[in-house]
Parts: sequence; structure tokens; C-alpha cells
Amino acid sequence: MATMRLSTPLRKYSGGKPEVTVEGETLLEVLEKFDSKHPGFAEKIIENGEIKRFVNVFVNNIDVRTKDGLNTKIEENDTISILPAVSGG
Amino acid sequence: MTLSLDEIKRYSRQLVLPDFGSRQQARLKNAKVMVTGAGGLGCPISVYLTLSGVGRIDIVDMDEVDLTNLNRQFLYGPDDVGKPKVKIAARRLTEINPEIEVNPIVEKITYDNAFDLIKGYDAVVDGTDNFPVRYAVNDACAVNRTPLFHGAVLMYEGRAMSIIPKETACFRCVFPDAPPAGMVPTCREAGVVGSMTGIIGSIQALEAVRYLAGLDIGLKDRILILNTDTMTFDKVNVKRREDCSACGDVFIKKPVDEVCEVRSQ
Ligand SMILES: [Zn+2]
Repeated sequence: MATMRLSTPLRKYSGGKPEVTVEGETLLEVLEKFDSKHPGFAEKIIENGEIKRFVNVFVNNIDVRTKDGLNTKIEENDTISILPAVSGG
Repeated sequence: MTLSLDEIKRYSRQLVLPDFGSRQQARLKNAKVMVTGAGGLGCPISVYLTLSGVGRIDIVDMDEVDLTNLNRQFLYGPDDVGKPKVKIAARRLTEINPEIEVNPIVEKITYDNAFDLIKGYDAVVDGTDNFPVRYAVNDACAVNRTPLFHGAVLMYEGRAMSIIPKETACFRCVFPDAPPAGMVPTCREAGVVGSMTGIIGSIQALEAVRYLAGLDIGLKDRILILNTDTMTFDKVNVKRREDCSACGDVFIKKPVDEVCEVRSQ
């Protein structure tokens, strides 16, 4: 099981929790599995099979765009962080 | 530029730091910095730049003090409501440190004026609160090659990142486009407490001061992510995009739609 950390704007899909445990072999699978329980989640992050341009996904603090994107393998104990842009000040 | 006896005494607690001496202090004294926004982030940013001895600080904001600002914007009090923020801030900052020059600029930053407004500074510290202005500031800093110290907050979450144009990832390298209106709530919609803007603004100011003093900084190509509801502090690695419309080989003007604009709060 991996851990997924959700930025504030996405926590409505986790019942307000900042962190959830997730399952799946790849990032895409993790997002789809989570979406099946929390509908609407994946479409906030994925568009036309790619990660949206105002969202970043990190696995163990590395941007998945520098890895295999949505096909990035997710291992036990990995930490996934999902980060949309925020602008408050 | 040499330091007066008063300055040496005023800054003595930082001058005793092993990596910080009169050379570093003189660099700060010679520095000209712009602070964009005089709100929740702008208050701690400008106060710490002032206390550290940055010689010239220009603060840009067009807003007037509002009662809803007073849970976090500690440069203002109830008597200031209705008055231009930057004028109050400049007066207060000059009282705190008369050795430096603080220059208030009552102006709305737009994509059109940002490139001229943000010219000739050694650094910009961004305390704005909406996407159109943040992207304007980022793009202007990229084109003018001005180091930019970014920070943002939302509820109990905060981010900070330091940008050295053409060398490290800029805000647009990380987020090429702004989210559509309504996707990311604003502080007005979602809420924010004063210590949150205090923490992030202080980190931005510290990075700027270290950079200006010629010391190493820790948030190049990295975003610091604070979740203070769980007290989790993470750093994620980011990379420049060769095709970045702001800092890449070819600059492309990309103003962000005003539709998701919110006024400074
Ligand atoms: Zn860039």
C-alpha cells in the first residue's frame, strides 16, 4: 500500500483527510481505483490521458513527468503527492 | 558601501552569524527589492526585509486596508481601514528601520505593466493573491531575469519556491497554465489564519535575504509544501521546461484570464 497526500483543493474527495492509503501497480491505476470510490477525482487531475498542466504529481518527491508519467510504477511505501497550483496570499 | 556604527549595532545579532558579516550586510544595504502585494504575505515579507537591512524596498499594491485584513495583516490597525495599504506599510516600516528606504507604489499589477514595473530590481518577493498577477510577475521576472521568491497559502497549506530565471524552474515551468476559475478556492472563500501567511512570508523573506547576501539557498528547483494541520513539511523536486513559455528559449506572452481574478484580501 502506498500513501497519497492530497493538496487542500482535492481533499473534498478524501473526506477532508490530508493523506490516504491507496492501491495500484501504476499511478494511473491508483488514481482510477481511488476515483471508483470517490467519483470525480480523476478528472480533476487527468485530461486526454495526460496529467493536467496546472497539476503536478510527485512520487517520492520526484515529478512523475521526469519518470513515466501516469505509467509510473507505484511500489509499497511510496508516497504520492498531488499538487495543483494555489495562489492565495 | 560601509556600515555606520548604528547599523553595526542594529544588525549585530545577524553579523555574529558565522556565515554572515559586514560584507553580506553591505550587500543587503545595496540591494533593491520589490515586494508585490502588501497583504497577508506582504506584511511578513516586508517586515523581515526591513529588519534585515535591505536598503531599498518598493511595495506595490493598489488596495486599501479592510477590516477583514486584520486577522493576519499586522502592519495595519482599525484606524487604517480605508487607507492605501502601501502608504501605511511604508510609513510603519520606515519607523521600524529608518536606515532604509521604503517606497510605496499604489498600482494594480497587470500583464501589460508588469514588465516595466518589475525592472531594475535585485529580487522580487511575491505576496500577491491571485493567478493573473502571479503569472504576470513570474513572466516579467523571467524576461527581466530577476530572481523571484514565490510563496502561496490556502487554508492550512503553504508553498514556497525560489526562482533564479534561466537557471532554475520558474512558476510556469511547474504550472504552465492556471487552473480554471473555481477549481482552486481563494483565501476569501476557503479561509486563512495569520500564522500561515506569517510562516510562508517569513520563509520567502529569508530565502531572499540569504540570496541577496550571497549565501546558498535551499528552495531552488524545489517546492516546500507545508501542511500545518498535520505539521508535514515536504520538499518536492521540480525541473525547468525547455519549452517554458516564460523562461524557455522563446518567450511567449500568456496573460492569464482575469476571470479567475480575486482582489487582494
Ligand atoms: Zn519557466
